[in-house]
Amino acid sequence: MNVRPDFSKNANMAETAPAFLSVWDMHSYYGESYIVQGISFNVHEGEILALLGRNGAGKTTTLRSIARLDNPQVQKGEIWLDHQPLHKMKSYEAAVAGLGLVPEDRRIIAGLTVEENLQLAQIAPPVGWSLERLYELFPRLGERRKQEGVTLSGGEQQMLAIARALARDIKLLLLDEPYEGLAPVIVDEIEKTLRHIKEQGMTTIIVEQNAVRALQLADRAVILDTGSIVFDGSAAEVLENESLRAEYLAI
Amino acid sequence: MSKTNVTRRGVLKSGAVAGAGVALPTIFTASSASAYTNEPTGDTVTLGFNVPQTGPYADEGADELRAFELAVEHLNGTGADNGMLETFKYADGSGTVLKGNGILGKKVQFVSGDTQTKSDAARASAKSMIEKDGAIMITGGSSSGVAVAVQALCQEAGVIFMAGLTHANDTTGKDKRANGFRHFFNSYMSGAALAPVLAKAYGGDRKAYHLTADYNWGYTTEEAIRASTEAMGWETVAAVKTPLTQTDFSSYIAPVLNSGADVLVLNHYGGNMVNSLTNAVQFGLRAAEANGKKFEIVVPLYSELMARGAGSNIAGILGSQNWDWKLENILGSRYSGTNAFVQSFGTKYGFPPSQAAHTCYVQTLLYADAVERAGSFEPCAVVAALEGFEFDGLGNGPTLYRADDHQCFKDVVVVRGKENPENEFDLVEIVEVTPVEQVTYAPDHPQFAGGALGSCNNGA
Amino acid sequence: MDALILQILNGLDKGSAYALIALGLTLIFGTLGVVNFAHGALFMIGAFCAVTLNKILTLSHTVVDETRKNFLGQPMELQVPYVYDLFGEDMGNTIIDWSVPMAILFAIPVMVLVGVVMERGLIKYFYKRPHADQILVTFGLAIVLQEVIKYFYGANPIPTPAPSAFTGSFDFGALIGFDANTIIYPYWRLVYFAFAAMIIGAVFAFLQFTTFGMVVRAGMADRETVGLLGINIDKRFTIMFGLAAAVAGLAGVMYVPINPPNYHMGMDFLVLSFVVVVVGGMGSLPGAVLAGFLLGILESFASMKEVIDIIPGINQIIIYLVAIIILLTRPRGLMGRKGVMES
Repeated sequence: MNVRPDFSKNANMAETAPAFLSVWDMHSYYGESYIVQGISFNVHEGEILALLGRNGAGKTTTLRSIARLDNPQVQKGEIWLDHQPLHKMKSYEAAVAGLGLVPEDRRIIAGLTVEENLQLAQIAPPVGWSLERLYELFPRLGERRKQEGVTLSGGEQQMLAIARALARDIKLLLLDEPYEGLAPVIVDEIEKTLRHIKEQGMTTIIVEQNAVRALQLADRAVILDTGSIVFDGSAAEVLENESLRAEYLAI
Repeated sequence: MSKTNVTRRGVLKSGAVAGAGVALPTIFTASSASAYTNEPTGDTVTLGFNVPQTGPYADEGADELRAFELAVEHLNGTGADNGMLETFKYADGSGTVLKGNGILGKKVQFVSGDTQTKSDAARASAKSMIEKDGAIMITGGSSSGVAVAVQALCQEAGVIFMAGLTHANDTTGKDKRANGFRHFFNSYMSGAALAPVLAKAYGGDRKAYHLTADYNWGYTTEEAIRASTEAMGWETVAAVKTPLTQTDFSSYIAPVLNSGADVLVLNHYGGNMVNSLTNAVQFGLRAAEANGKKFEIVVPLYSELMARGAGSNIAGILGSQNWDWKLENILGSRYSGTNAFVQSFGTKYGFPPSQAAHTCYVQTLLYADAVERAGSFEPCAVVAALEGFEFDGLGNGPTLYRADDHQCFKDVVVVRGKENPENEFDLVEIVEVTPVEQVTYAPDHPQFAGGALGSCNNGA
Repeated sequence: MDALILQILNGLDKGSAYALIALGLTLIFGTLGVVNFAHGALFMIGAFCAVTLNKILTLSHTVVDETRKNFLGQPMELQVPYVYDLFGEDMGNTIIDWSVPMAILFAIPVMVLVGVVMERGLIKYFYKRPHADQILVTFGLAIVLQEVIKYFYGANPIPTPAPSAFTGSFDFGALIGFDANTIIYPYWRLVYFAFAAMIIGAVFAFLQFTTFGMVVRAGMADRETVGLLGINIDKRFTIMFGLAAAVAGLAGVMYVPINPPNYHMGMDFLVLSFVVVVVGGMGSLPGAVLAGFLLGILESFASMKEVIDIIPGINQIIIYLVAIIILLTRPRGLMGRKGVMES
């Protein structure tokens, strides 16, 4: 079915132009568990969207569904990225179509050096930033390029995971808890990087427990509660609305 | 009981697992109103040929089956010739009463079963042939473990068991049964036949290292060879048991050269033999010297199939056989019957018969002849007809079916692997034939003690 | 001392076969997550590649020799191999003599083909199924393959000798400073060990130094993430199945002079190879190789007369004993990744 979904019902979708990323009525299951229960939202090109909610709300599930991993299974709904039907693709096809997921726990591949982890990212098309450019952005990775990836510190691994995503020519960057377990100074560095690539035109969805930090970075926010969307608006709105924050984010 | 004879396959077991026959209690459904089990009432009689059709001895089983089918043809008079019926004689010189019109006028039919060279499968197959196909006699087999198991079952069932290829002493020793009969020679006879030949060829001052398959046949063969060689002065340096499922014997062969021995005795059969002999030759044992003498290898029981499998490794190796297809050509008319059988078998199948084929063919004829002489299929009558029966012209020279243990006593063939065989059927040469007197033992000989014949069982 | 060295040598050459088969098994388990009980059958098929090539090279036509008689008293029929006609008797004999090493070239494409057909035709449908299902179907496949070989080649072992340059044994002891004739070892077994070491080295070099190898290693470590980077790992894993099949097949080809191949040899090695994989650590390639050689050496030592005298029967159970101990104390094996098969 190639008819683009109709978002006119949602008050924030005022544009007539199709959104860069459209998720429409997505239902995701882990086996029998029904996690994401019919969500729809858009992300516009060049935006940073913060995807927030309490633990278990379905944030990671949403990202993994968009990335088309084997688990969870998307049993209903559509996902469109820059006019491409992601919902019909496998994970590697979605990656070729421009999707880049930086998973929770980073998933640096054991047995490979820093450089090999980056080279691995550039085997499948489309190739993004060159290794030299990435080492400029993350000098610490450049210093450790021959070291085994899993021996890096937490912060360095996070940078490697992001660099790995950028090594590909991606259209949409999905970040799952990028600040987790990192010292505030490292978080600053990463935030600076994210702003930098946003300036380069990257579209980003960031899932983050540290909601305030994420909201300060993001343009818009979507809040999930037990698998459904309870808020879809600007990030500033969430920061100002105390009762909203208390009810759904416990902050 | 299902008709298919391929029963459950042991999931992680390899083939040729004989083991001591597992004596599972069997319950036979009593047939109604016959004097004995499977009394043939119509104009046919059914024989059961229980041979390995799958598993590592399938090729030998196939040869046995060929011989059985030939025997049936000859008994029914439907063959191209009459095979050994022409040469089969009694002690008084008269020919067999078999006329080629079946047995007691009844046409001979047969069913075949698959022993898989496993005792439980063999018993199940025999049981099926007896109960469902009405077999009145069971014969065939390539393993002593199987033979002992099936013999016991036939005793319980009340049918005659004519053993196929089984060499362990136990079959007519501690596991003998009144309903069972063995024509094939045994470990004791091999030892007695080989010892003088070994002494002549290799001298009386030898040190032997034994590798023995870990089951009943291995034990009795080792015992027999040790007894007879030690009696002529040899010393047994070591006797190591090897698992039946072993394929690579190198770790057992490796220490032999430095053990102080100068003869290696391989109490192995079939696949074990093929591998152990190959490994022994690989390790240079044939070319080696020990104690100032040339190192020698002895294989107490040869089989044609194993000789083929071991290829050129059998060259110069001494061993014994129950019979050889060249017997009459080389040693003359004492072994009459040999050429008749070889001609008949060779014309029908295109190659000469193995000793397994020979013993199966002969056992079938002996059974049929015994029934004719007894005038009845009743097992006890057949037993009486076979006990003490002397005959000739079946390829082994004059032979006695001894009443005390139902074992045939005849000459034993000592063979040696040929250095330059011409083709795959001409791998061994006959060294000499040991006369029956030298291989005969008293019925109460210790190697055969521990069992009793019991009385014949008519079943029903 | 010489007895010990003899058994170590023996363990290494036995262990070579175990290590090669276990290597292939671990490659398949580590990449596709499939427990492949048909791997022993691949070893057997490789061996029969050597048998087949030998049979092809010795294909003969019959020539009747009136001067000699066969067993029925008729004129003898001689088999003259076609290679004699093509190359002359001497060259023909040399070609037949070297049929086992030549079979390596013959076996590689055959085994890769067999592997790919097995994988695409049957195994790929079982990737997501529980291991028990995989075991059942691959074991069934192994039995089928074994019976097919038995149908065509019979049940009897078929002697297939090594080239005459390598038959027999030589004085290994003299090479390392022992007295003459204390350590005699067959040439071909040492050749086999060297061959196995080469193949193992080649596989590791392939995985470590090529891009394809790096992708496979990455996929073995973290399949999901490799997909996230746009790589279709399934295609590459299918090729690895073919490679693993080739490794098992080559192990079989060169093994034929050691023990004459028969249809059952796959099963004989299968159980031990799985024990090796479990002991080495499922999913660990170095573990599989190490455990293969270790268990080969252990098996050799356990069959020493001195050892059997102390613990009778140890030779039959040593491998399983070691497996049980490992499973009870360190289920992930000597070098397995934490968490694999731990439950």
